[in-house]
Amino acid sequence: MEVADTATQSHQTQKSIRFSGWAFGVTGLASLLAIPVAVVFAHVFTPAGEIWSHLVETVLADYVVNSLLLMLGVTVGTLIGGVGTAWLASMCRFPGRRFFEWALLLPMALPAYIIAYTYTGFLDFAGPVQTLIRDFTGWGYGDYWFPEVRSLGGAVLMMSLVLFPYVYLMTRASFLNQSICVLDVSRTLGNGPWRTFFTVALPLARPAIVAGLSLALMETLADYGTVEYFGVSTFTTGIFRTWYGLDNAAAASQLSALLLVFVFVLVVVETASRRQARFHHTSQRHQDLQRIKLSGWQAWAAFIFCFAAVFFGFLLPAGQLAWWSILVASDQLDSRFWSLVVNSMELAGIAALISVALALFLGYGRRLNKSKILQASVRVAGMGYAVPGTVIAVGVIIPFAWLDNRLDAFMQTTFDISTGLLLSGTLAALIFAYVVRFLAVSLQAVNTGLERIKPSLDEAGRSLGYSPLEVVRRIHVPLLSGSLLTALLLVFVDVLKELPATLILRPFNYNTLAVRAYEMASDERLAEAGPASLAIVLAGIVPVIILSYTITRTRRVRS
Amino acid sequence: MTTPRLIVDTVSVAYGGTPVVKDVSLSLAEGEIGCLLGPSGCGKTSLLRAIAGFEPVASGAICLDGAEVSVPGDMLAPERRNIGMMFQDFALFPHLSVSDNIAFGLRRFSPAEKKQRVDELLDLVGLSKAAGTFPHELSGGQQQRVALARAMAPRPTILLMDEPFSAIDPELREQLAGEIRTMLRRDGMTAILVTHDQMEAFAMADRIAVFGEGCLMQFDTAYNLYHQPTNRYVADFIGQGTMIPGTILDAQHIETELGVIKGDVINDGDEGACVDVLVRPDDIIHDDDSDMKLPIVHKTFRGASFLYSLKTPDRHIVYCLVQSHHNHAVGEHIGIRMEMDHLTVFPNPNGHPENGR
Repeated sequence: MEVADTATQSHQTQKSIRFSGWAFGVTGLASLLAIPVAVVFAHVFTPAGEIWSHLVETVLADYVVNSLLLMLGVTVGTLIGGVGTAWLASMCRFPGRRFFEWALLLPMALPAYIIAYTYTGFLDFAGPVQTLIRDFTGWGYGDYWFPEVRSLGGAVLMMSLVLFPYVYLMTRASFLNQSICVLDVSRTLGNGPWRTFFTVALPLARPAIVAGLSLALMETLADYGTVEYFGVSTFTTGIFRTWYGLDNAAAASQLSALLLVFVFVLVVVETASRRQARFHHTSQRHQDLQRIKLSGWQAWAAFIFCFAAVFFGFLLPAGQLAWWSILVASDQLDSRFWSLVVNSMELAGIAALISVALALFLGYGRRLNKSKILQASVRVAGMGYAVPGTVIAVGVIIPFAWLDNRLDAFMQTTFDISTGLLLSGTLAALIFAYVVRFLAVSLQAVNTGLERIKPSLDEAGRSLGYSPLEVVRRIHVPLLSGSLLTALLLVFVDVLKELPATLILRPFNYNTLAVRAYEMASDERLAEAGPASLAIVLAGIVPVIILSYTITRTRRVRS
Repeated sequence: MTTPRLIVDTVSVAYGGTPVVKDVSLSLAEGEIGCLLGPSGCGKTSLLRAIAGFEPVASGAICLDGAEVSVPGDMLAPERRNIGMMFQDFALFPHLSVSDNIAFGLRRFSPAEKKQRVDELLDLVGLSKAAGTFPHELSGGQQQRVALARAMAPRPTILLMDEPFSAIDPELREQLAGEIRTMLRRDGMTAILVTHDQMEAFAMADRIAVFGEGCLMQFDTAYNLYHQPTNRYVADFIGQGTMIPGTILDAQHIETELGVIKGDVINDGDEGACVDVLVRPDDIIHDDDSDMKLPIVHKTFRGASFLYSLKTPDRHIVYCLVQSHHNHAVGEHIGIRMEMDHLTVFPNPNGHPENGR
């Protein structure tokens, strides 16, 4: 007993040290990840000199108005596209419904800037549509009016086409989760199926719709590639211009901070809506909805509406990219292209591995220690998903450059060696930015996995004679592997698609697929942007497959 | 006399300085099945988790098989206690088949021994045919039996069961409790069960510890808890019954508004003391010939019997259990007589019998 006592004593002390060490690590990590946003806000009080007043007098109003108009347009577009398709695909019965249920997610595979390139190529003067019109009518240049795709309206359309699945996904889930009892009550109180939809189902889905919309609007605010290509001045393009054109870090930070205020409002709305959405589920009993059967013209209209969303949001642009890729394949698919692929995969792979490892660390920290500080730290670490890549890039480069200068000065005075820019021009800065931005994605996947491992499973393992470490190896690892793989893939694809942070932070002459697509498109060599874009889109289909698998699985469980 | 399998010696458990279990002492002999019974939040689960080694004790000591495993500031890790535990949600490993779940704790067994023990337990819980299936393919009752087999497989010193029936349909609980008791008995297992349901406790346990607000109120057999509760809390919590005021005449007689009741006064009570007497529904016998008649204010049909609520002259309500062919209407006066072996009395807080109420 004597011996056993000392052994348990040491076990106890070890345990408490490990726990506090873990908590320390989690808070430290969260602080590290919060640096970019903190830096941006810290510069609010740094005088930016005349540039700021210059900005206010000239372009700031444009940035605000254009960003607001863009958000307004995308709100209308994604609500019509997202709620409309969600309603049809989950509440109605018409030919092709099952196909659309997952196919409506396909537009998510396209980043907004890539769909913008394809439609520009498709609709501009030399594109197939206008050429066809001219061939048909015999008109020449200037003889006819055609809508300009490279405009604010065009940007709204492009973003709505690829962002409506966010609203679709959340709204659909809400419709399917609505307790059948509530809908039945409405029917017994004398409301028909249509009236029930408008008076019960739709109001109940409102928090989910708002949450999906907030996500779509966060992406809208984060977009750089589309608005830059279409020549629409918004916050993100303004930050770029201030940074590179005016070379003023303080002013760029202040614009970033202003943009973050917009984002913050969206985050608050989204969080509140999600919380509310939870309370709206009044009972646990669910069953398949009595879908409204559409027939005749109604079924046709439903089919056409959903098909249009899939066609214009995915099939047409993907087809255009494939066609371009075939056109330029012979002189584009050379060793330079493959080195782009390797670069992209390398970056995305490293960022994904780090993100998932950190997410595991944070997830376990939150699981082991329920203290408020730790919970808050994990939430801070997951905030990056709302912060536009441009802002993160600015917030990363300022402290990294400061650190480099300090290091260089120190080395020069003490050892007479110049270290130059040790960190800021390297992949380390870029990967750090990716981790800040996409950690939330891996964190969510890991947490979903961890929540499935109920604490009682750990205790069952302990009571059957296994130490905590063995419990992790024999119970957690096999149960978590699926979620970890999902987390890896999701971050991988998100990094592959990311444009603005990569543009700002990449090492000199270091190119990725996204950068190549951007550069080719900027040079008006759209066809040559095809292969890189197509590669990104093909990778983007992976998360769509994962999502649609989850969707069909939940349906199977319910039935 | 052999050492008890489990000794809980004046144990307190606290969360963040707030005590949830206060100075509880109890012990279980080999092969005995105990129960911690009480409403939610009374500390019973905390004590079970302290026995398992998931919670530290703030004071006192816990011994398993004579060895101290928990004292303040020190506890043996759960995996080194040789305990078996059944969880509320069963906590079956979803990635392992039924037989792999049962074999999980048999790490020190050779493959042949392992197979033999798993087969033995599958047979015991009647799931030999389901050996290769996965937990999600089983019904709630089957999952529970797998959880039981898994916990019993390594032949633990003691089996701990945390509300094992809460995830089971209420209609099946008593039946399953009886079945599990039979299985535990056949294996000679020492076990302790946590529940808030008296019927489960009665069906499973040899001795029951009634908990209230962190304190152990009484540790006794079900019969004694019902017939000889040592305090008002247990009298209220176990079974049905009401208190009527009375005055102790001598060790055999108490005077009440329902006449002089005869029986052994079991709690301390001086002659002439004003007390409350516990009256159970089976203490009042329906007798048409009796002179004492009380009006029925409410009745509940229970199949084999009626439970009548009767109003006493001093406007107390007492219950009377009557065979169901004595069907009387509400408002009717029925004759009763008192028939009590034990007179459980508690000091009357108001001091005077006439002031009762």
